[in-house]
Order: sequence, then C-alpha cells, then structure tokens
Amino acid sequence: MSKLCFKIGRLLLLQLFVLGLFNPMSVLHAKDKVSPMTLAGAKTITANDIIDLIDKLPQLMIIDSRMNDRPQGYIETSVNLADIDTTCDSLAGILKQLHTPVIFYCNGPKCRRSEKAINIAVSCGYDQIYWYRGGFDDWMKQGYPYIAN
Amino acid sequence: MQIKNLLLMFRNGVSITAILVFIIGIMGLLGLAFTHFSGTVHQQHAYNNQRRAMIELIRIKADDLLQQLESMEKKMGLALQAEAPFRTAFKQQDQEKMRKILDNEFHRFFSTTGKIRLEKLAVYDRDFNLFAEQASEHSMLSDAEIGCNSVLVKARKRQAAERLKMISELCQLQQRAYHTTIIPIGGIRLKGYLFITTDPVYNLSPIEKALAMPIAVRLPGQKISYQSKNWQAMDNHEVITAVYQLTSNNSEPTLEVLAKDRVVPLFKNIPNPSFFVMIIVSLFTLLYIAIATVILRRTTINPLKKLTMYLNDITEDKARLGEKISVGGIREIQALCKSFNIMSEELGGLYQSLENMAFTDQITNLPNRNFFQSHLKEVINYHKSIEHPFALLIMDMDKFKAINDALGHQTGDMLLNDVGQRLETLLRGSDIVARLGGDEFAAIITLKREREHQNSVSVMVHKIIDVMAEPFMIDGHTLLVGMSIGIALFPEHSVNNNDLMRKADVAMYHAKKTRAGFSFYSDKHDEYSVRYLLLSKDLMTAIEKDQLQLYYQPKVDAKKGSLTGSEALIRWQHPELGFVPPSEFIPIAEQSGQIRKLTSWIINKAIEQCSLWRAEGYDLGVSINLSAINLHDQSLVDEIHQAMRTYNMKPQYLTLEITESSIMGDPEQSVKVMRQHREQGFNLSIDDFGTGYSSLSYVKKFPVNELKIDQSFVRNLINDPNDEAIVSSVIVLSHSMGFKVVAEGVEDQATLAKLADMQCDVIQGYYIAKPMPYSDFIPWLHEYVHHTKR
Repeated sequence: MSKLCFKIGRLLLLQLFVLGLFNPMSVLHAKDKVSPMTLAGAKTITANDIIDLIDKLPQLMIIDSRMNDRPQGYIETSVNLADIDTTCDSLAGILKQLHTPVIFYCNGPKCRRSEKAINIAVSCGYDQIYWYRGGFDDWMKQGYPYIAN
Repeated sequence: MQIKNLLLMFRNGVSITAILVFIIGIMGLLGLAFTHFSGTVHQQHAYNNQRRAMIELIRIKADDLLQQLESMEKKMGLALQAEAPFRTAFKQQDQEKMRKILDNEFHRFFSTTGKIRLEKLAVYDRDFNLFAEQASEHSMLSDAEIGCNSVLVKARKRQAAERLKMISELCQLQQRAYHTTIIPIGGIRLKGYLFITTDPVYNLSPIEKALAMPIAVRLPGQKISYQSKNWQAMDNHEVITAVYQLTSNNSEPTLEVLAKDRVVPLFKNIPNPSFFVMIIVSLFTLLYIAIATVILRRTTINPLKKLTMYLNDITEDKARLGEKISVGGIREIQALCKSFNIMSEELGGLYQSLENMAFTDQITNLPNRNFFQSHLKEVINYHKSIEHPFALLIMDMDKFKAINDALGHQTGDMLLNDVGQRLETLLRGSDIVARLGGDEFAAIITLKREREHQNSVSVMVHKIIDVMAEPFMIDGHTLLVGMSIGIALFPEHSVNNNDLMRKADVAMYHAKKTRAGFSFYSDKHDEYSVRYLLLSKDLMTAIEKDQLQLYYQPKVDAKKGSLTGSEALIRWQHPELGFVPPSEFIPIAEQSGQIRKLTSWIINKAIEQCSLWRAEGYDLGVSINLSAINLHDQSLVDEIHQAMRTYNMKPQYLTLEITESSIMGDPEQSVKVMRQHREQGFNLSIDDFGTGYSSLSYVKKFPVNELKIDQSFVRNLINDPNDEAIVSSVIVLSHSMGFKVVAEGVEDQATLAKLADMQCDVIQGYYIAKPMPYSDFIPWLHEYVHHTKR
C-alpha cells in the first residue's frame, strides 16, 4: 500500500516537473529580476575573459559581491565585499587607485548584487570596471576551478 | 469425416436455428476476441506507459547521480590540489611524496564514507607528462592508464583559458565503466593536472532506492555488473523491465540501467476486469442465443413446423385441402400461411372437381366406369360378408350410334342424359347405376334374400325395359330407344368383380344377338375363352392348309343393274367347329399378331381370282377389307403393288375397304397410308359407314372415293323413317363431296327401288346375291350377265 502511494506521488511529482518546465508564468515572473545585459561604466565579460585578464593585468582585483553564498565556493583571488557593504570607502580599501582594474561578480544574472555594486563603483569614479554577468553559477558550469571549503 | 458430415448437413439443408446459433456464436466469439484484443492492447499500452515513466525516472535519477559524482570528483580534486603537502610535493617534484599523498586519498573522506569508489588518481604536469599516479587495490587499470583516456586527449587539444576547465567523461574500457574528471592543479594559475577516475556503477546503485524498484546495471551487451539484492527474486513473468542507456560524451552507449517493476501492484485491476468482462460477454452471448432461439422458435420455427405438418397431412389426405389453418408467428410466415390458405382452397376446389371428373360421367352426371368398378369391388366385399346376393346389369342401347351420327353428338349426349335419368328413377336405396361409356350403362341391384331372385331381377329388368320403351323427346325429335340388358348374379355366377362384369357383358351380347331384350348369364353363351384359344391356335394352320376361302358378293349399279364390282369376304370352315364368322376370328388374328399374314393371303388370293375372271371377260374389280392394324403397315402398300404386277392387273380394279372405326383409331396415320394407296391408283372405300364416330364433314378429309352405308340402316329403310332420313342425307352429302355411295344389306326390290330413287350409286346385298365361293361366282357372273342382257 505504501509502495503504491509512493509511486503515485512520484508520478505526480514528475507531472509537476514537466508542467513547471513549460509554465509561461514562471518566465514572466523572473523577467523583472534579471540584470540587464550591459551596465553603464562597466564592460561585460565572460569566464574566459577573466582567465585572460588575470594573465594580462597583474593589478586586477576580483570582487565577490555575494553576501551569504561564498562558503559554497568562490573564484580564486576574489575578495568578498557584499553589495550592501559596498561604498566608495570600502572600495577604496580594496582598490588602490580609481584606474585599478576590477571584476565584479555574484551568483549570476538573477542575483543582481554585482549590478548594484558596479553602480556604486561607477558613482565613486572607478573607470576600469569589468562585469562578470554570468557569475559563480556560470563559472561552475564552465568547469573552471574554484576555491571550495 | 467431420468435414464430410458437415458437408452432408449443408447439402441436406441447415435448420434456421443452427444458422442463428452459428451467427450469434461467431459474433460472440468476435466480441470475445475483440474484448481480449482491446484488453491486451490496453494492457500493452499501460505497460508501455509505465515503462516510459520508469525510463524517465531512471534518466532523471541517473543523470542526477552522475552529476553528483562529477561534482564530488571536482570538489575532491580541487580540495586535494589546494592542500599544502600536495602543492609542496608538486612544487618540489617529489614523486615519492606525491604517490603517498595520492595513496592517502584512498583512505580519506570521500572513499571511506562510501561516497565514491576511486579507481585511480593521476598527476600530470602542464605539458601532460605523468608525474605520479596511484590506483586502488582492486583496480583493473594498468600503469599510465587514466580510465577515460579521452579526457586526456581532449585536454591536450585545449588552448588558453579553456585549459583551466574541469571536464568529466563517462566511458568504458576493457569491459568496465569509468568516470574520469580532470582538475587543474594550481587553480587559475595552471601548474599541472589531476585526474580522478571512479567507478560510476557504484554511484548509480542508489537509483533502486529512488525508484523503490530492483535495478541492474550493465555495459551494453555485457553481463550485469551490479544488481539489487531482490533483482533475481522478482519473477520475470509479471514484471515490466525498463532499460535506460547512458551514453558517453561522443554518444556511444556506455552503460545500461535496468529497472524491474511488478505488473500487479499498479495494473492489478487491468487484466482482471478484461477477464471478467470476457466471462460476462460469454454469458450474455449464451443468454442472447437462448433468448433468440426461444423467440425464433415461437415466431418462426413452430409456425413453420405447423405448416409443414399440415402439408404432410394434406399429402396423405387430399380431402383436407381447403381447410383453413392459422399458424401465427412473424408477418412473413402469416403472409405465407394466408397465401397457402388461398392456394389450398383453390386446390381443394380443383381437387374436388377432378375427383368428380374422375368418378363422374360428364354427360349424365352418373358415376363413371372407374367409380363403378371400384364400387363393385366394395359391394362384393360387403355382400360376401353379409352373404347377400345382388345382380349386376349391363345395358347397351340399340341403334344409338345411328342417332348420334344422324342428329349429332349434342342430341346423342342429351339422349344419354335422359336415359341415365330414367334409369336413376328406378333405383332403390343401395342400388347404383353408372354409365360405362358410349351407350353402355351398368347397374347393381340388391336383391332380397329369397330363393327365386331371378324373378325379382326380372321384375326390375322389365321395369327398365318399360321405361325405355317410352319415346324420348329431344330437341324436337321423337326418339325410340331399345335396350339390351345382360344380367350376372352374385354369388351365383361369380364372386370376382372382373368375371362378374365379363359375364354380364356376355349376357348382354346374347340379349342383343337374340334381340331378347334381356338375358341372364349362362355358360352356354360363354364359350368365348375356350374358343378364343382354340381359334387363335388353329388360325395359323388354317392359313397354311387353305381352310380359308374367299367368297365374293357382287356390287351392281342401283339404276342400271350392271355389275360394278365385287367384295371379297373371308370364310373359315373350321374342321371341328364348323363355320367361324370373320367378326370372331378377325379380332383374334389382330390380337394374336396373325393379321398381316392373313391380309397377305387375302390380297394375293383376291387379286389372283379377280385376274382370272377378268381373263374370262368379266370386267369387274374386287374389294378387299383392310383391318385397322393394316393401316399402320407401310409395307402392305408395296405388297399389294407387287401382287398387282404379278397378276398383271391395273390398280383401278382394286378397291380397299376400310371401316370407319378403324380409321378413327388413328386418323393421321390412316390418312397417310390411305394417301399412299391412292397414289398407287387403288380405290378407297369407307366401310360400315354410320357405325363409327366420325361425321361426314370429317370423312371429307379422307382421300377416298367411295362410301358404304352400313346395312343396319338399309335393312329397315322402308319401315323406319329415321333410317330413311339418315340414308337420304348421307347420299346427298356424299355426292356433294364427290363420293360414290354403296348401300349394303339390300334384301328386297322395294329397298332397291327406294335406294335408286334416293340416287344411291351402287347396291350390294342378298337381293342381288349372297356371298359365294369363287367356284360358284364365275357361273353366277355368267348367268347374271346373260340375264341382264336379256
């Protein structure tokens, strides 16, 4: 009896999964919460670009704008500064000059923390800002190494 | 044998019930088959659905588990290469230390907790030179074998940032499955590569828990490398097996995950209802057959049976035709029954009238010969049982034929009817009178049980004679009819119906011959049977031994008295019986097949003798009488012709006399033969005219040139006005048709004068001369010629 209930439940779950995949409501719902493709004052880059920039720019800094997700892993050499902690002052503590190249990232397009941090950095006058829009999710997905705890 | 029986059954006709049961049975079977088929299809469909669902679940779980494995390999690798001892050993190129570190890894968290089953760890430098490697104790991988070598191949080809990426592969090598992940050593500052190879089968086993089904994992086409504990326990008969194939990155089938599930738990109710439904369908089919049979029996079969039984009854007893029946049942059968009733009624009427016709004489409405004879049998049986005598009367009218010919059939029929009616008025209770045919009547007279019953019969017979003596008034004619009555008595004369009839007949002929009016049967009159045999036997010898003789009777011109011809008449002087009249032995010759020979003898004799008297100067021909049987003999024509040539006689001197009644036996054939004779140039004469049944208008069609009036009309010509009228009209009509008329039986001068007066051409009779043998004929001719000349 319990087995039968289990199987029926499983079939129902399968159905929910299928329905959820094609539910147009969920797409509409997420649209507003996604970051734009580009941000004023920042250059959008990919994971590959990061590796290249690390080689090319010795002064490059990587700022992790996430707040709680860092323990899951992070890009090597990145510094954690959550967007809500990002100010001109806190940035100045990490970036020595306004010309210092810097990459912002968070979990991805939906987390929007890097977007906010960049807006602040731009307002502070930093002019070599790179935005890794794909974030840590994309990093993992691309199979790049990261620091895991 | 079975098939033979079946075929036989079809040939003999199949009952409607059998057809109905057959059709409904077939429909029922089709229904069952359809139910079974749709049930099976439904079941298969359900099974397929479940199998698809199972495969989908396996896919989701297997993909999930492989991702987990990959994730664990990455985590493990990233963590390992980040550790200080590892980095130091790598930096210092200390291979021995590195091997120890790698070996240590087999005893650390991921392995010991059973999260993964490590097969091999290998460390390469940036240029893919092997630095150190360590395999598990049970590993089948040899040195420098990573597991999924394709990872290494792929990694070598990468450029720039791509080289940092961690990639994983599922593959098979030497009949084992491997999962290999490459992890960059040094993080984003690439220094070398770490390869981690594990056994993916181990990590796929949790699928069984997720699906709650026993599973098995195998390489495609290989033995099972992992199976759940209860995998074998599950009977293959009632299970659905789903197979999901895992593929490597280049789409090669690498692993198969099988899952088994019992049919019963989920589809327990599917096959069972179909079985139940089939039973229900079968029961309904049987019930329907039963109901249909009952309905069919009520509406069709029973009415048809009833109708068939009635038809059988009618076949046995025709008198039941016309009885109305009602069988009920369906409309078609009722219509059939209605039509049948109508037909039966018509047939009944027809049958009644047929029966009447078969047993009733149409002219007099008296019983006919058929009825009388069967009735006679019954009467005999009855009278035998009660020992009671009765008399059988056979009555023959005198001169009826003459009346019929002179006044027509219609008058004759009316006369017969009146005679019948008069006879009927004389009957008492159980007596019966019938018309046997022609002018012949018969009666059965029941007698009182007394000794002198001849007297009581005589009383009755006299009554009949008296009644008949009264003139009949028919169609303006006053007709006088005589009756000759023959009487045979039961049981005195015979107890057999045929014999009794024959004996009454004999008595009647005796009465007629003696003109006694009536006569009782007597053995004295009835020598017929003995004589017949004797005459039949002796006739042959008579022909051969010249016991026969031809007599000649001259024919003379009625007015001039000159000789015109002669008629040859056969005479038989029997050595024991004496003179035998031709009327007796000619029929015997006909019946015993000797007529041909007899005729032949007569022809040759007559022609020979005729030629003889002609040679002596007497210019007269000869007439020969032909029998009815001669008229069917074509060869006779040739024979006569031959005889004529033999005796050098011209055909016009031969006259062939044919009786009217023998022509009428088969007019077509007679006319045909008569024509042939005419073509030969012979004269043809119709003999005994007036005694047959023909009318003059019919005779007109015959190719004849002479007509002989029967002597019965001529004999009483002077006294009987009827005969006078008949003879007169026959002469007038014959002349108008171009026939010469001969009157026979002229016995006196008055008759001769009368006939001459009536314009009769030729006469023949005792007045001129009796028939005489050839030896007397020549002298008579001589005498007559000289006498007339005088």
